[in-house]
Amino acid sequence: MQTHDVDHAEFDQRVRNEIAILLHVPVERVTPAASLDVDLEVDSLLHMTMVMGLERQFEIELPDRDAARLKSVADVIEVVRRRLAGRSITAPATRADR
Amino acid sequence: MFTSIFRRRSKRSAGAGGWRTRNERLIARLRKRGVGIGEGCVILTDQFSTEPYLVDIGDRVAVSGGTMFLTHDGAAWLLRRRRPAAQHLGRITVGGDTFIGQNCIILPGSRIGSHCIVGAGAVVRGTIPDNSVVMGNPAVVVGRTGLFLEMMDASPDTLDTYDLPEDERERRIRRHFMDSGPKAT
Repeated sequence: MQTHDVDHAEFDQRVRNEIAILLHVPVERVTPAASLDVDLEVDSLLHMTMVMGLERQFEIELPDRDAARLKSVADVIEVVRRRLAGRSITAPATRADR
Repeated sequence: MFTSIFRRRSKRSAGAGGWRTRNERLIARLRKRGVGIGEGCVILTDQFSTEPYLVDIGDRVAVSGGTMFLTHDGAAWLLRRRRPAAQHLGRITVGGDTFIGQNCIILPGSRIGSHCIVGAGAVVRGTIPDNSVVMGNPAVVVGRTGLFLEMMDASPDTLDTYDLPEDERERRIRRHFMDSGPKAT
């Protein structure tokens, strides 16, 4: 596996861990393919909680339009990655890392 | 007394004044009592406590039914055992472009910012920052208004039915939620 693949996998896992903490679900359920509303039972309140929690943990701000239309865990990982991409090479440590 | 602020009345009652006219009359009465109410507001409550002049509401604010603005703390009842004339009072301000849901309690001294959404049943105390979505007792910030509105916009259960004639509106809503078409008569 290439270094950037490892970095990607590690980053994906960090986001998944953070989502699991915010949604109070086992991380095993937070697969990239999992849909937020059906598989993880995320309602509007939990959706907002998740977005704001991720923003706090990764020290980013997600555009409301993008954040509102997140459908799957993969979408969440991608939007967080994109937001971080222009700012720094490494994301700040999250509580999932501690 | 009032229909939901999200509904237009049928042509029958609109001809008799409609909810907008009744709302304007209520706002006029409240202003006469001293409540500060900005332009373009929808106010569906008359519960402004015994010091209504301590309440100031900005422009384009909607306040749903059952909501109470409390300008004094009734627990002073107990303080008056030793201080007979005591009253504990507080101003209430609401910024512009804010929505307050059903059956909220706004406590004395509350300052609600602009572009806020106060969820139904919330008990508001202290300061609510601009652009906040708050819920609960005591009300806490659970989100930001921009995000909440984008989520509502993206929701499949947000329908473009507000301005439809009532029978068409019902038909479309039933079709969406129950797929049952027009009500059998």
